[in-house]
Amino acid sequence: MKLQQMIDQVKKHHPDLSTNEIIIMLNEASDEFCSRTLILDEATQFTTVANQRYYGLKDSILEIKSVDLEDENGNSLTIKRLQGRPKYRDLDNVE
Amino acid sequence: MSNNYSRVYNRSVKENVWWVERDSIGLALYDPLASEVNRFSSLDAAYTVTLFYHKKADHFATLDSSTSMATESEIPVQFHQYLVDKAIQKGYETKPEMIQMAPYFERKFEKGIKEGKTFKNRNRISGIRTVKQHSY
Repeated sequence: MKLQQMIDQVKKHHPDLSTNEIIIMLNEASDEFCSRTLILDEATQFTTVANQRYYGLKDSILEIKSVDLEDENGNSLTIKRLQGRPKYRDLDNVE
Repeated sequence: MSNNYSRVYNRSVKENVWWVERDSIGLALYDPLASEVNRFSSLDAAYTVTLFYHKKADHFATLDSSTSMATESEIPVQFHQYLVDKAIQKGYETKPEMIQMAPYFERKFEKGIKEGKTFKNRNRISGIRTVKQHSY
């Protein structure tokens, strides 16, 4: 369904609402739907920087499922998730 | 019964690990035999990392930016009506004289959540179906 069709349907019930208000409500509905159903999956790649420990995550990420890291031979291997965090932090180059 | 030496061996193997902290992902090489201060070291070179994750759909742009009214949500099309239902519910919640209409649309949205979870759990693969033979 296209955005215009969605807005038209909402306006049938709420003709007093502006288009922007309706778009904001649709975005809130979409956020709630995605976070409760976890319906959308995605994968993304980035390259590490030597001696940088932390890398910022996009706001749209709800939950990381797994992480693969390329080894010296160019093969991607799934790496383990650490429970908690290291006791001693490396705060150089924090993003 | 023989001892499981492989478990002892595994505890001494260095391995890369990840964790999430302050909206960031942390990556380090874990060395269980090092002292506690040096047990985690940051990666020493450029490696390609692939993240697999659940995400929110991209937002529709508001009219202030360049909005295309032909945009569609990333959410599968069969669930678009439920987003409309939620927006209608929210609209009724702002009107005290018509607030009794809100629960009807809320129930429709909740039905959509249920269907969305089922769709997700199926992984787009239908379950095993057995076909029974009948004699008429």
